[in-house]
Parts: sequence; C-alpha cells; structure tokens
Amino acid sequence: MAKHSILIHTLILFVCCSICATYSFAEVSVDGSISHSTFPLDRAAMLTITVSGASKTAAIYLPEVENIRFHSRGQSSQISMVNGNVTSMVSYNYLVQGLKPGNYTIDPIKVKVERNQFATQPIDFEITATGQQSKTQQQQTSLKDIAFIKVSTLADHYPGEVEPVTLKVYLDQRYRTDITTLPILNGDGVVMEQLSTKPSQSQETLNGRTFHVITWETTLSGIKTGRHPISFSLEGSLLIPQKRRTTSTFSSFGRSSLFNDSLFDDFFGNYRREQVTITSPDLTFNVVALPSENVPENFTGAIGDFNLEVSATPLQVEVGEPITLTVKITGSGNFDRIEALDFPAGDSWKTYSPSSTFEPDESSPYRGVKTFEQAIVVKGDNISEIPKLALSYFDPTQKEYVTKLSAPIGLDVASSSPQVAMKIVKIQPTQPNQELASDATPNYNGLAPLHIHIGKLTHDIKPLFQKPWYIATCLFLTLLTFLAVIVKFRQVQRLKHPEIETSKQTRLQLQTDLAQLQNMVTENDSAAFLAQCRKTIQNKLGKKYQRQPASISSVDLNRWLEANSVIIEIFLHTEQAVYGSATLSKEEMQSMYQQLKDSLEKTS
Amino acid sequence: MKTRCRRFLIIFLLILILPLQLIAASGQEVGILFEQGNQAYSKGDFDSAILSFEEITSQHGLSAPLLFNLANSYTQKGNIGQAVLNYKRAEILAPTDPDIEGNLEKIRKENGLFQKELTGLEKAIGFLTINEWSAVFLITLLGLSLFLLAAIRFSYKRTTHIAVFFFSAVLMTVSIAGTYLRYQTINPSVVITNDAKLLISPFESATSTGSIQEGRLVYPQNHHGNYTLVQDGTGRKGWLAASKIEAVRK
Repeated sequence: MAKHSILIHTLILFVCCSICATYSFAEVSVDGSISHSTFPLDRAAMLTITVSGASKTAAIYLPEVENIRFHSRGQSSQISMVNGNVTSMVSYNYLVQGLKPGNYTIDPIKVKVERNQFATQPIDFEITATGQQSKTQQQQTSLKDIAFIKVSTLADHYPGEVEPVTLKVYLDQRYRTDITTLPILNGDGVVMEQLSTKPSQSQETLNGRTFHVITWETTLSGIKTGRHPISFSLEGSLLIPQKRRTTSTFSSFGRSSLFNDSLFDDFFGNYRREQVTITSPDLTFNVVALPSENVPENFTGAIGDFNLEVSATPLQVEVGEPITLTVKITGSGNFDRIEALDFPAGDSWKTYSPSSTFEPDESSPYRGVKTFEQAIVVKGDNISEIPKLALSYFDPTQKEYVTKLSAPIGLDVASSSPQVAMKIVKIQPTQPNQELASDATPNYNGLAPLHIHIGKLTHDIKPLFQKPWYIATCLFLTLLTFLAVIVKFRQVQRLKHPEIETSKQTRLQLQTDLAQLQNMVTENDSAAFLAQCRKTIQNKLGKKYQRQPASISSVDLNRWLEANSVIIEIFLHTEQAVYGSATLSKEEMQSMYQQLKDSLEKTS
Repeated sequence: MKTRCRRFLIIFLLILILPLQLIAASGQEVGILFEQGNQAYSKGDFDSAILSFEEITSQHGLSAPLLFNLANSYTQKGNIGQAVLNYKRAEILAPTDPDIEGNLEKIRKENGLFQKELTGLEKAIGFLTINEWSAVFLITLLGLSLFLLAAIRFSYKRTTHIAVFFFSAVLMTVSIAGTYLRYQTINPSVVITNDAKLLISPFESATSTGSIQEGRLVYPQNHHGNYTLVQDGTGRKGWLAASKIEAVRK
C-alpha cells in the first residue's frame, strides 16, 4: 500500500513538473484587440489584451489617451492541452469610454511578464457623435465585426509556383448569416485553384465572441512577376433584426413597457435580409522572377521538390519489339508544368508520344504522382541500355535549379526475327495504279486505306444548314406553312359565320348591277336602264329577304319598306315603263341612278 | 446570207462548248493530281502526296475523300496537327464515314489527344450528325406544310391537328437544338505546330502558362493583333499566336 502511495505521488509530481517545464518553456505572446472599431459616444467598446504562454500574472501598463477612459472589467484565463502541449491564455478586459467624438489610437500597450516586457500593436478606433452614425457606417462597422475572411500568411513566390493557402470565413454566431457564393479571388496576375464545395467547418472564439468558421484549403499561383494586390470576397445575406416600435400606453408616461425588452425584439421583432459582401483585408502577392543563370535546357517551369523513378518492361527484347518506359515523378509542386522527359532517341531508337496521368495526394492537391508511359522501340542490336533521363526543376527552398538523373537501365537486345524486322522496314509498293490504291496500299500503323474516288468537289466546308438551297427550302416551306394556316383559318371562319359570305356576295352583286346601270346611263339607253333598275332592286332585296329576285313585286316592296321609300318610287317607275314605254333623259337617268345607289347601299 | 448564218451558228456553238471543255479539262487535271497523290503515298513519298492533294484543295476545291487522303499523308509524315485538321474537315463533309472516324480516333489515342468524357446530353446529341439534325428539321417542316395543305382540302379531327402540331413543334425544337449544339463541336481550331505555348497576354514576350499539344482542339474566343485567345477542352485559356492554329472551317 505504501509502495502504491509512493508511486502515485511520484507520478503526480512528474506530471506537475512536466506541466511546469512546458509552461516555463512556452513562448509568450501578447495581443490587443478592440471589440468595435467604430462606436458612438454613448456606447463603449471592449478592449481585450490577451497574454498567451505566461505562467504568472502579467502587469498591464495602459497608455494615456486624451478624452478616453479605460475601466477595468476583470480578467479571464484559459488552459488548454493539445497533444501534450499545455497552453495558458489570460485575457485582461477593459471598457473603453470616449468623452469626445474623433479618431483615436491606443499606443502599443506594454505588458510585463516576469522580467520580460512585451507590447501590443497600436489599436485604431473611431468614436462618432451620439446617434449620428450613418446607416452605411453602421452596416460597414457591424459587418466587419460580424463576418470577415482571414487568409494565411503569404510569402514571396516564383511564377507558376504553387502556394498552399488557407481561407477562413468567420461568421458571428449571434447573427444569422448565409453565404451564397464560394470565395473569389480579386486581383490580376494570380490564379487560384477551384475551391471545394464542401469546406471544413468549426468554431472559434475571438475577443470573447464565438464564430462559426468555414475553412478552404486551396493554392495560389502567380503567373507574372510583380507585386499583385489581391483580396478575397464572397456574397452572402445577413438577417438584421429591426427594432420594434412599442405602442404601450406606459411608454407615454415615461416608463418602459414590460415588452420593451431586447428579448421581445428577438421574439416579436421583424428581420430584414440584407445582401452583403464579406471581404478579406487587402493583401499583396509578391511574385519574384526565377534566376536567369544556370537554367537547365530541359527546364519547363516546374517548381517544387520532386523525385524521379524510371522503369521499363520488358528488359529482354528483340530488335523492333516495343518496350514500355514508365517515368514516375513524385513530390510536391506545380505538376501541371512537368512535361514528358526528353528521351535521347538518336538513330538507335524509335519513340512514340507518351501518355500521362496525375494522381493527386488526398491530403493536398499539389502533392501526388505524375506518371508518363511511353512506347520505345530498339532499332539495332548494338543497344545495351536505356539511356538516363533528366528532370529539371526549381527548388524554392534552396533557391536553385535542380536536375535529377535516372540510372541507365540495362537491356538484353537480341537480333530480330524476320517477322519483327518487317515491322520497321518501309514497304515499297511495286506498280502503283488507281485500282491498287485501295487494295495494295500499305496499311501503315493500321490506318484506314486511301480513298480512290475523289468525290464531288466543293469550295467551302459548310454543314447542310448553311447551304443556300437548304435555307431557301426552309424559307419556302415556312412561307407555305403560314399561307396554309391563313387559308385554313379563313375557311374555318367562313364555316362558322356563313352570313359573312352571303353579305360579301350581295355586295359584289350590287356592285356589278350598279356598274351595268352606270354603263346604260352613259349609253343613254332609257329602256334598258329602267329594266336594269328593276333587276338591281330585285337582286338586292331578294338576297336580304331570301326570295327569288324575279318573284319580287311592288306589293312586296310596300310590305317591306316605308311608304315614301325612293326604292318603291323607282320600282313603280320601272313597272310603268314596262307597260307604258316611258323614256328618260340622260340627266334623269343619272339622278335616278344616284338615288337608287344611295338607297340600296343604305339598305343593310 | 447563208454564210453569215453559218458563222453565227459556229460562234454560238463555240461559246457553248468552250466552258464545257474547260470544265472537262479541269476535271481531268484534278483526277490526274489525285491519282499522283495516291501513287506517291503508296510509294511512301508522303511529301509529294501532300503537295498533290494540297494543289487540288487550293485550286479546285475540297471533298471528303481528298481531305481524308491528305490527312492520312500528314499522319504518315508525323504532322499530327495538320492530320487532325484535315480529318475534322473531312468529317464535316462526310459525318458518317467510318474511315475518317477510325483514323482520327487512332491518332488521338496514339498521341495522347484524349477527349473529355461526354455528358449525357452530349451523347444524346451525338446520336445524329449535324446534317442529320438539319435534315430532321427540314423533313418535319415539309411534313407539317403538306399536312396543312391537305387540311385545306380534307377535314381532319381536332385531335389529329393537335397531335401533328405538337409532334412537329417537339421535333423542330429538338432538331434546332441538336444542330446548334453539334455546330459548337465542329467549329474549333486545331493546334498545328508542336511548339505552341499558351501565353497570359497577346505578346511575344508574355509569360507562358503551359504548352499545348499539337493536334489539340481549341475554341477561339477573342483576337488581338496576331494572337488569338483560345480555350481548350479542359477549360485552360490563353493566347496563342494565330500562326499556331488553323480553323477547321476555312
């Protein structure tokens, strides 16, 4: 029992010593931040000084700032242990109150930890007049506090170099913020790899506030030298609570209503959705030129750290037999700039175009394996090895060009059999003629043979729909279709409304009759004129009253028309003329014609 | 009088016959050149074959067999860019020719000119060639106009009218969409040299963003001086010297 007790005490002592040792060796850092960079005179902001890695209490020396008062609001401490590393963090909080509107800067705050002295960065903020903060300022200020983008540190780069970058979008959990787009890169001369639609998500606490953090791991690559100003932004929407107007009768007596509480603002209040653009601070991506000295001949722009492996199969071949050469390049960097390695072919080898594949590493897209496969053929049996291949790249950490060579691969080449030799000897056809072209043309590399008929020649390569005859036919058929539709429509209309056709026929008949009357007036033929007048009246009224025109008499007219109608008068005149052979002068005929025309046209 | 008439007749006949003789002579010349090209190819003299075929294309016109033979000659010479260009041209004139399709596929495979995986829509559109889609539109339009003409003379049921209009509208819409989408794929340019590099700006001294393989299809988007802004099948964009590419459609 005593042994156990000694052991437990020893262990506790060891753990305590370990923690103390870790504390004592931990790096101390000091950071200062203010909760609002702009706030009105009647409000206050929280100044937080965070001391990380200190084992003892730190002494804070706040500078004097004119028209600014600091009120201590205590301190909070936090100890975390991750993978055995113990980290302590103490936050000292102060309320910052302004006495006068204006722009202020808190000079670096001195922090003394044991015998060491540290300082924060200067902190800028603005105090606006009471209630005079503009809406835009309010929105901008609040938006910067509510949602923002942080980007990992950017160093200098070379053109084409792939730089891993972490983009973190911070969204204050107290507000409902929705993001509608992926972050985009603003700026020229730099390209960003396409972002994943499934970023990692976590929570972080900053200045005592909890943020929802969305993280993208991506890469940036500069495409031209120079200092490129860049930033990141994404679109989103923010639900902003609207202050309710209390209508309570108590408020008019200067007392606050029971419901005049922010709790009920959340519960009953309206929300307004605002489209917002969440941005990162302005950054500079510096791209420096690659050294122009000692550039290898086969350098294709690859930057990073690569390894080269070359293998071949089979290693025992006959002349003319193909060998598959496999080149594997592993490591990290801009694999897109790595091209197939030059094979020193010469007269002894025949080479074919290589194919390439790239398998990115799951952990990061700029790590992986690029594989080239190439078919090579030995032309003579004096070859004993596959020559060494060279990969050149620029190492950004060493800041120098590196050329890696593969080891030569031994080959056992035997003299070719007759069949194999045939493969590499060009076939010389004997008597070429047109008929032989299709049958006897050597089928080089398995291509389909030549065509023996030239076919119809044309002067331009146009698809069918661009040929004039096609366009003309389409236009003609479209016109024909429209005409057919119009004709069919009129046909249907006539069937539905037969009175339209009858009316049209009546109108045409009247026009014909009146034209004949006019001719008779011109010819001064009184008898024929009167007979035509009678016929015109009968035709017109026969259609209207659906009677045979010849059967209409003055009795019918008296029944259908008014007693003093001009038509009855003229009709009686025509009857008298039949029995009494009355004659009319040309003027009388003209007058009668006009009267009859006017009357019949008025008769619907 | 008779003599004068005879002279007029002779001149008239000469005027009538001369162009026909010129056409016949031209046809004979084309035939000879074509045969010379085929013979040179058979002998393995691909340079001479290319010269003969190119002479026909520049002076007399184009045809699918001619462009196919020219493309075969370029393939044998190892000029993959020109080979792809001429196979693509031949493909427009004879979209269903299996020889053109087979040879094009073969040189693509052998030279690593892999094409991107087709989407479902692209596969569906690729079911018919551009000319077949155009023909579907024309036949549908012809059928519709004939039906309407017949409807003037004969009376059909209302449901028959609705069915004919509906199917015609669907067929015409689909065929127009098919023609348009197929046209997008037959109108690219081809990289014809093996040293083409994509540049970030249309200037000789501009930084390169990578090389682009000979025989690759690119889609021109903009022009500036002697440079063309292109996008390849993988979405890469950059400026290429105009001399490095040639449009499939002249």
